Amino acid sequence: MNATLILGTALSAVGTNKLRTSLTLLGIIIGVSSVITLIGIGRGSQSAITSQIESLGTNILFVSPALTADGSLNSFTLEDVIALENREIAPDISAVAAESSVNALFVAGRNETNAQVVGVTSNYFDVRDFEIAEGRGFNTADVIIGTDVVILGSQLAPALFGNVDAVGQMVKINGREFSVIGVLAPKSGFGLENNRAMMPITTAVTRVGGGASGLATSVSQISVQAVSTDRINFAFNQIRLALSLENESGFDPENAGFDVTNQADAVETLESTNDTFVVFLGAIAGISLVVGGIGIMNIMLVSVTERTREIGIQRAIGATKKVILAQFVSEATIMSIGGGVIGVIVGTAISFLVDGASIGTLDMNTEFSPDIAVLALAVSAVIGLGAGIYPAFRAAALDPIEALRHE
Amino acid sequence: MTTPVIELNGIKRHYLMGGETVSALDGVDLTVEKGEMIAVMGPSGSGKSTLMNILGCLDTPTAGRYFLDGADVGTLNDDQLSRVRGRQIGFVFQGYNLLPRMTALANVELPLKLTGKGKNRRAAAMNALARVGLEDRANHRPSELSGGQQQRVAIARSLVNEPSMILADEPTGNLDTTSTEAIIGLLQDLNRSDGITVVVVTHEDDVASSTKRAIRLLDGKIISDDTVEQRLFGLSQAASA
Repeated sequence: MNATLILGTALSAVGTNKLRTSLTLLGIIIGVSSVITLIGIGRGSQSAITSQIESLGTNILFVSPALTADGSLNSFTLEDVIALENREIAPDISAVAAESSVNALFVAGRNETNAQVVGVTSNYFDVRDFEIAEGRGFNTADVIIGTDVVILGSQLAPALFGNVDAVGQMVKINGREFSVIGVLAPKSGFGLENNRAMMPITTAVTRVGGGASGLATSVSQISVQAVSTDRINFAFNQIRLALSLENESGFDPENAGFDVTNQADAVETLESTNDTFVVFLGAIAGISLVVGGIGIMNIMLVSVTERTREIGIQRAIGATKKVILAQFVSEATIMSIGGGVIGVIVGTAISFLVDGASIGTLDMNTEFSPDIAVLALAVSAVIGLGAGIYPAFRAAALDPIEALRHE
Repeated sequence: MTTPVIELNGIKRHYLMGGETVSALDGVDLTVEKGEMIAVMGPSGSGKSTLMNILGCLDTPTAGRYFLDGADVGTLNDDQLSRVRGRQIGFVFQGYNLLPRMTALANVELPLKLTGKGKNRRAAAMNALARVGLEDRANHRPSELSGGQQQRVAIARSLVNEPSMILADEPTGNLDTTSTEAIIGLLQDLNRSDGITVVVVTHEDDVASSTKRAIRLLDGKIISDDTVEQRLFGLSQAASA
């Protein structure tokens, strides 16, 4: 008895009832392709989010105001920023950048739009990895003086000036004239990143926002760059020390008046959330794969009943139980592997079609994972084998005499 | 003296039906020599089918011993019995029992494949088809053949493995007179020209009269075992006993 005969018999049985076989295959195809597509989407969004966060730099710590001991919300000023730049207290901090945001009305000729003005210190561009595509940035002197200059985001510039080069133009922000000295390079992000303007923090707070000037200039968030990723824990403690000393108050870890968060923490939190999401999607798809397997088992049981006489004939002319068993198991496995292969092709095709498409404001990013394709294929083969074994045993256990009498 | 093809010693076959023991065969002794052609007759319920199943190694006796070509079949397991069926026994059924999805040639080739016997299987199958005069129908499926032709394909399948005997169970039960004559003629020819042992189970007297020897079963026992000469002259063993 040879394998070609077993496979040949199984193939001809699969090929005889084409509609039935196709419908059975469909169950596995849907299962496998949805596993591949859904996990592809899950992983794609995961890596998109991770890469966005990582592009901010993993050696960055964010310091934001929090509740103080007396229960009021703390606020930062440029004095706090200067305190963090004390290298004797904070030797592991390499740069400190401050920002303070104000919403403002932008007017240029007939165009007007609302956008966020982000007042920043001059090193903000380096620390937070913003690039200037056209024109120039500003320096420390601009921040100290509070020059009336503005750098527009890559979406904001064409919104105000259309196709005209924005650099060198004037724009009115909350009624005050500012000269555009540069345009930022587009940055991938959550949508708002490119529709805003940057200017010296002093200018933004006092001239646009109407707040206090000089060292009392308020700061909404401080970005601290550690000298390296592995020194980040030292930098973390040095921030707490520097700010506590500066406030001349005793250090209360519960209500210090500020929060320090780590970029790596954020990545980790998001990744673990996303892992759950991917597992959840995979489980839903896996269920449909199991349902497909049940379909195979069902059709195999029908097939055994229909072919009882045929089994009896084969047993009479020399087929052993093993041969009958092998025929039905391979029939189920051929169906599940066939469905699995088609499912991988369909799933991969859907992944590529969906990649880059937008559903509302959500950009779909899919990532084809060969490991998941192999896994889905292997799982479908195992499911087919499992679904085939019970019907095959029933076929093999048939009494040849009874089977021959079966009408 | 050569070893008999079939040697049955005190074969009994009991079935349990609703707590009652039914005796389908009740002590059958039978010897069939190589090259014989024998008819097994008897009314329904006489144990014909049970005897047929035991001779065909599809069923095992409750008591007694069965030697096929001198080998005790009672000691064999299921796999070995399957192999004996495939290599030493050629079945011909009343309902032809060809596999509908396969061509005539593939049907004839199947026992060779199942038992892994022979090298040039296709040629051997073609020869067997030619032996029954159906080489021009090799690529037809059973549904494209007449009843007589299907039975000839079944005979070709039964002889392709060069078995010790052909077991034919009511081979003409579904056929008209012309086809019946052709099938019986073919079995006789295989017996006479090729020396194949043939056992035919039948309830038709004219089929039985075409064999040299006929046994009669009743209630699980052999009640007569006659040669054609004895039957012609009314000298039944049972009558003379």
